[in-house]
Amino acid sequence: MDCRRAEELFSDQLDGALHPLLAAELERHLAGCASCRRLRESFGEVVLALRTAPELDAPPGLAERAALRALRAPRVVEIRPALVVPHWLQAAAAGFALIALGATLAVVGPERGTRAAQRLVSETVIVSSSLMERKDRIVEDVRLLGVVLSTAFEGRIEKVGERVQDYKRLLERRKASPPGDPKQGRELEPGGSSAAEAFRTGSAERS
Amino acid sequence: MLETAPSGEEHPIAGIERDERAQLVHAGLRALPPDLRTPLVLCDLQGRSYDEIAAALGVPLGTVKSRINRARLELAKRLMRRRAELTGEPS
Repeated sequence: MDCRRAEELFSDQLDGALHPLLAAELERHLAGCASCRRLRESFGEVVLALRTAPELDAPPGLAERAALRALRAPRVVEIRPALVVPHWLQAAAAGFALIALGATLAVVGPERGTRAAQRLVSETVIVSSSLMERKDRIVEDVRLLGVVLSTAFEGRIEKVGERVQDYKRLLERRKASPPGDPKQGRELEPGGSSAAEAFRTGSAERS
Repeated sequence: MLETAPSGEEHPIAGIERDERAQLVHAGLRALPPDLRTPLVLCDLQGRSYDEIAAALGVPLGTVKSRINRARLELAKRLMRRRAELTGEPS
């Protein structure tokens, strides 16, 4: 251990935080190095002076005061609403909504209101169905892309072009099929297996 | 060091030396650059833990320990130089 390394360990030694082997090594160095021994002694005196002298209790700098403020400040997380709406305005809005609902029911009547609700539910179901179909298409696209990539990784470069062409034809088939068509994008070859299946299994290039 | 007399009581000169040492340390503390002085003040004067200091200053724990050690070394070397001046011995 050299003197520089010994100096780095003084605080840890003071705190009793040194590994026993390292502490023993430091002790050996101090025993043989008068300069480090004197420095270590002064080091201990400095720490003692800092910790015990009451006249040093005042923080000497702006940085210390700022850090102390940070330490003393209660760590309370204040959550503010993004928009503060007065209670009277909330009550007025609620009252207006009730009046509007009553007026609507009075005009259209309960039965017409029910029909409107049914129509709303029906449209919601249609939109949901359409979204699910789009999701299925995306999942299928990702799978097909995986097949193309795996073909490329396997070194069958000549087959990659064929897979890409197959995929293009699949997209054209999709365009020709309406979104609700159960056959959309499923059949690629006129009398063969589905395009997706051909991609997944790689049967097209193996046959 | 003249900390205690043979009877166990503090030697009169020890008190003077202690006060002088405290003043010297205090002066040295003011002379330290802020990045060394701040963690030292928080640790040895305010009694804050290393973790608290690291959080307050927004620096890693290892950096806090290293800076505190360097700050103490600076003050210790300053104290040694002062002693050498007084005694005429090499520091």
